[in-house]
Parts: sequence; C-alpha cells; structure tokens
Amino acid sequence: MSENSFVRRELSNGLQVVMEPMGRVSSAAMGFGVLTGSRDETEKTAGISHFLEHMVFKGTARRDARQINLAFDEVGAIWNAYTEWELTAYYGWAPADQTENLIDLLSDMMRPALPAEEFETEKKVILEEIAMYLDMPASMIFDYLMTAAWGLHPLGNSVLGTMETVSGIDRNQMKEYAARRYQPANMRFVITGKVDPDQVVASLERHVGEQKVGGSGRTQETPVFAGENRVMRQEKIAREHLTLAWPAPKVGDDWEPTAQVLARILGDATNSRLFWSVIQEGLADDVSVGHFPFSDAGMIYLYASVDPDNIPTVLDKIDEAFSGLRSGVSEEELTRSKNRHATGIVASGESPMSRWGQLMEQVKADAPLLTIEQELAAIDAISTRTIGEYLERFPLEPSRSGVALGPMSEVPGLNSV
Amino acid sequence: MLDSSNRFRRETLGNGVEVIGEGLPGSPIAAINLRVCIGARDDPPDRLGLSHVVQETLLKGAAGMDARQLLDAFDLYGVTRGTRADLETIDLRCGCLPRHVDKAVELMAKVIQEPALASDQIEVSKRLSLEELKSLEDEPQDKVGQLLWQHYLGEPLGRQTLGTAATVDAIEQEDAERYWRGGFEPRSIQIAMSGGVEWEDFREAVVGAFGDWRADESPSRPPIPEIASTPVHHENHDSEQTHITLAFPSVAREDDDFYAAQLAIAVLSGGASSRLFTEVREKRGLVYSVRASWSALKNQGHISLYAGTTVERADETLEVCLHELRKLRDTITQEELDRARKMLRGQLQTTAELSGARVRSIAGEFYLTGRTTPIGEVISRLETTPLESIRSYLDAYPMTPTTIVSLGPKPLTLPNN
Repeated sequence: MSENSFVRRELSNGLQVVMEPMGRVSSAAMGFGVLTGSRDETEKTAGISHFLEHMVFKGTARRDARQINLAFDEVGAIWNAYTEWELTAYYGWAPADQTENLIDLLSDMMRPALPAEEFETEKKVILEEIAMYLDMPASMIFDYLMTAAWGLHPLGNSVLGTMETVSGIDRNQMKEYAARRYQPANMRFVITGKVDPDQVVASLERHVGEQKVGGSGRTQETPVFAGENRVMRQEKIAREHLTLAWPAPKVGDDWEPTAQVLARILGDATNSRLFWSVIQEGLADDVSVGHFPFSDAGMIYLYASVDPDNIPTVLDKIDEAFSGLRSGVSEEELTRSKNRHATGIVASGESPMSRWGQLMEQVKADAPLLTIEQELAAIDAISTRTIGEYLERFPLEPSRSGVALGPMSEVPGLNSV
Repeated sequence: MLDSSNRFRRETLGNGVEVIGEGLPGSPIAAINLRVCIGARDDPPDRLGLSHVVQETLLKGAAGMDARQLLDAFDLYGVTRGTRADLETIDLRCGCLPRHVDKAVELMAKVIQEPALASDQIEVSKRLSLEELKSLEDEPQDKVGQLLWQHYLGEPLGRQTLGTAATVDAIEQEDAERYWRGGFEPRSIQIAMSGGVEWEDFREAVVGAFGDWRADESPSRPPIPEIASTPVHHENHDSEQTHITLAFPSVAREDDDFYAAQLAIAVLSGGASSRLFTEVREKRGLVYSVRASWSALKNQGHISLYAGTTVERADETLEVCLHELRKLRDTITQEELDRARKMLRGQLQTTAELSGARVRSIAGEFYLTGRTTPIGEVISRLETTPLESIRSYLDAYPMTPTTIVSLGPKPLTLPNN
C-alpha cells in the first residue's frame, strides 16, 4: 500500500495548506475550505453563506461568470462547491497537469466581486433549490434535526435558510459578510493526489499571497446538546420520515473511530442490528445510523423512512437495538463491523477526491490528520472493552433528540409537551 | 501513469461465462461486477417486479447458509456487496482487498449458482418492494424519471423494475425459482474486475468458482421488443416544483456515431458552460437542476432531459429547453466542440484510476457491445470526431422530444407542434 504522509505549510498571509501526495495516481483533487457556514449567520441572514457560495461563481475582478464556467470546462475538472454548518468548500479534481490552472481559478474565486446584475438572478436559483429540497423530505429533515439537537445554539441554524430570509438578503449584507469571513487566516487549502508540494506552495503564493493578513475566526460557546423533540405534520408527505440524534465525539476526538464502528454495528446497510430487526423484517426499506462530527461537538444520528402504520413497531425495534448495547457487543459482531469499515477506508484511499473530502473535514476542525494506515490501526484497536468505555462517556440512551416529518400528528416518544 | 495500451484481458470459459479484467497496478482495492443478463424486461406481465424480488433475495441465503450465515461469511473477509436489478440485467457488486479476491469470487459464485430463494425470504423481499414503491411518492425526481421511461418506451422496455403493488403481491416462491432457473446460467454471466489484482489471479479465482457450473436449460431470451411511446403525460402531485422530463432517440453504444452523440450531449449539458446550464439556469435563474444525458439499452440509445422549477415558471422552462434542443444543430461551434473534448478527456482521465468507476464502465460497455474500449482509444475517438460528424449525427437523430412527462401541481402548457 501507500507510504503517504502529509505536508503542511503556511503562507505568509496565514493561509494554511495541507497536502497529501498519493503514490499511484496521475490526478489531483484540490480546493479551499472557508471556515464559515450557517453557524456564523444571524436569524435574519439565514442562508447567506450558501447564497454567497453560489455568488462566488458569478465573477471576480479578473473573470465574469461566463469566464469562470468556461475555465472549469477548459481544465476538464470534476468540480463543485458545498456549504454546511461550519464550512463552505470549493473544489476541483483534474489531471495533474492542470493543477496550476485550477489553483489560479479557485484562488481568484476566493475574492468574489458579487456583481449586482447577477445577484437577483442567482437569488431565484437559490429559491428554486429551496423548493427542490422542500420536495425531498429525506433531506430536509436533517435541517430540522440539527435545530432540535442543538436548540438555540447557532450550530442548529438552517444551511439553506428559508424563502423569506433568502429573499430578504441584500448585496451589501453579503459584501460585508464576505469581507469578514473570506480571509486567508480563515481559509484552508487542501490538495491530494499527484502533488509537488513546492510547486503548489509557489503557485498559491503567486495567486493568494498578496491577499492581506487577517481572519475573524469564530468565537462561540461549545454547543450543548439540547435534546428537543419535534413532530412536524405535513399531510402531503407519504411516509413518516424519522430522525433521532444522540451526543457523540467531535471531529478528531480519539473516540471518533469507535463512534463510526458503533454506528455500523447499529445501522449499517447490511448485517447490522437494525438491518436484522427492521429491514430484514420488511418493516421499512431504509434505516441507517451514522456519526456526524463537528469541530466542537458531534452526534450519532438515525434516519428511517417508514409507513405510518409501522411507526410504533419500528420505534420499538430502534429502542431495542440501542438499549441492547447495555448487554455488550460480541467479539464476532465487532469484528464483522470493523472489517466492513476497514474495506471502506481502504477504498476511499484509492481516490484523490474522496481523500480530499475526508481531509477537509479534519482540517476544518484543526484536528490531527491520519493516514489510511493510521486510520486502519485506530479501527483495529477497538475492542469490546473500549466499546463499553465509549458508551459510558457517550451514552446512547437517556438524552436524544428526534424529529418526525410526515402525515402523523403524534409519534410515540417524540411529542414534546 | 495512464497509457493508451490495452490493459484489458478477457476470456470466455468453456461453459460460456465471460471473464473481463482490468489491472490497476498499485490499487489497494478490487471491484468486481457480476452481471446476469436477465432483468425486469423478462418478468411475466402478471408478475412485474419479479426480477427485483429475486435480486433482493439473492443475499438472503445460499449454498446451505441462511441469510445471517451468508452475510457473516462476506464480513469475515470484509467483502462489501450489493445487488441491483435493471430493465435488462441484474448485478451483484463486490469490493474487497486484493488479497481476498478469491474469497469474494467464491461467495459470489454461491450467491449466483446456489441461492436459497427461501419462501420466507421471498416474502421479506416482497414487503421491501412494496415499501420502496411507497417511498417513491416522496422522491419526485426519481418518480418522474420512472414515469418518463414508462411513457417513452412503453411496455415492456419502459417498465418500472419495482413492478406494481398487485403484481408484487402475486409473486410466489415458484416464480422466483423459475425465473432463476431460466436466466441464471453460465452463458448469461459476465464477471468483470478492476483493481489491484493480477489477471492470472482473478482468472484462476473465477475458473475455480464458476468453471464447473453447468446449466440444465439453455437461455432463450425473446427478441428486443418494439418501443411504444405516448407523446405527453402529466401526473398531479402536491409538490413545490413541477418536475419536467422528456426523451428522444439517440444512437446505440456500438454505433459509429456514438462519439458524435457524446460530444453533442456535452455541448448541450456537459459542463458549466454548456447550453442548458447557461440558458436555463445562469441567464434566467429558472432552475437549480437542469440536465440531459445519454443512456442505453441493448442495441439502442436514448437521450433524456430533466428540469425542476416552481409551478409558475414551468412553461417558460420547458420552452427554453425546447428552444435549446432545436437550435443546437445549426449553432454548435468549433470552440464549443473543442471545450467539450477537453472536459470529457479530463473527466475520463481522473476517474480512470478508480476501480469502482472503471468496473461499472467496463461491465456496462461489455454488456452492450461485447467489447471494452481502452480509455486512450475513447479519448482519441473524441478528439478526432469533427464538427461535421456532429451535425450529421443531429440530422439523423434530431433533438425532438418523442415524449414529455411532468409531475407537479399543474399540467404544462405545451407549445404548438
């Protein structure tokens, strides 16, 4: 396998650069993560980070929107951008001979011009995107779950915002927000694949080096799990969509690998506890459990899409699966989940793009970086005993949050009084 | 490094099993795709959804192992697995570390040659199909896609693989048994691998696991049925957006004009600078999602388009899409063509090193044409297809919708003709 290791550099203006050269590939995945997202917004400007992400493609001092689009296609990149609770990321993946061109383009975009003539047109696109998600309850429900789990803490803010808040955002607000948040010290650049670290750093110095030093960072209190429950009735939805959340380790926590394996034991798509008690009983076609970490908090979440008639039974099965952990996990069950997880880790190490996404998650939280080999060693070290210790630190029983979205007006255990 | 030499190896075993391998030296993983050439097209009309149920039941017991024992056997070696049923084929997909490739192939052989198809497990799969059918109501983009094929290709080619509640309900164990006996035999098996495994090792594993397999019956697949399109269909749905789709004929994969068609589609909808993205989203802000793509069945190809927009903008969105389709032939430029080539080349080169992406591509092309084209050859064909060939392709296959289907609160107002 690989003997990959990381190269870290910091530009003179404070931009931190993380590189992972990968031996066998001839392409490179790269991009900026701006440490800003919905948790950095106010109630009135909900959705501004995401709106800004769209506007970043709409022009800079050197390129208009058309020229940015043309440049991505000229490079032959697989590219995109995304906004989440604490990060806005822009990336491209292309043959390594295009690295210089992509760095030039992405760096330029980090200084968006926010042209007035594009602002209102793009607002319409965002409103269409919100409408699209409103038709996708399986996606929307995670926005609602975050609010239930983290309450009034800004981590519970909606990434998309609402039609009302987005409609109300004006260009001056966005200019102010971009100037404050898109600063070199508030950004990270990650590149993986066929990488020459010295060339990358030289190129970045050329393209972003003159940008002034600064960055406002984020000062917030550590989120406290709110544990609220919500039943959101919408008759036009056919299924009852159900999400639950429990407190769990943050990004980079030593207990993170245990949380990932525990999620697989409980709700992996195959051969997990909920697979046997729900899917294999034909009670629902979709139940999954995963670990969702943030830079200073984390949660284990469950999602299920269930016929309303089956909701009481499925909720019982879920409680059984989670409370069943009290009597421990068998060696065999643990080994099986570890083996599935390990194959997934190795597979992701084949792709510069997957690695880029994983590293950006660690980098955004200033968490320690692990090579594939180190990740595998951490999984290997999990034992039935350490699972027990994990559950003492992060109990999966008393406090949980839940959101139900669908035709039901009452869902057992979720109606808060 | 990517080179243009042919890295494929292929062998037809004495019993008819096709074996195809592509070594990716240094890849930490092996991806295997086993394709059975039978699918929803072959379901009896009163048992629609049978192939989906059989596919779902494959991993629920085989070779004397019950469902739990079978999945435990996969997990022992960390072999990931999944199945899917399509119109013409059923796939069993596995991933594993290269050193476990023989174990993976051995388990795949058991699943395909000796599935239990136990009646209680068939019942579970039927219940899951019914749950999936209900879930579709909350996934309008998937639902409208299925409606499009139903109305564009008609019966049987446009079948929804899940079937209907009534036909799924009617399925019995003997139906599954008969379906398996009629289609799961050596001459309808194509097993492809891409990843860090030597051809000889993979070949040996397949010969060991599949070489002695003999079938009782010879397959007799009916000839490809005719297409029976209906021009327009609307289905009412209480959604935020109107989901618009349309489709028309294109070339088959083996057609000389295949590369011309790919380039035409890339100019229309391939990248950020493509016609549809520019005109529908960037200039007018009508949608978040608009895309057109080519897809194939055996000996035929089709182009379909999707756009999602709020109700009051649906007619305009359709009109702009139709206008772009209509004018492509006479307005496509050399500059656009050159950019489309660069874009496709870059994207082909980056994904060329990923075993999962490669094996799906190889398996797909081999099923359609009986051969596999090295990426170097694909790139050179794209680069040598002149503008004139694209125009003559568009003369032969004009972008005129055969069928327009919408899902939403209100039917579309269709332009005259």
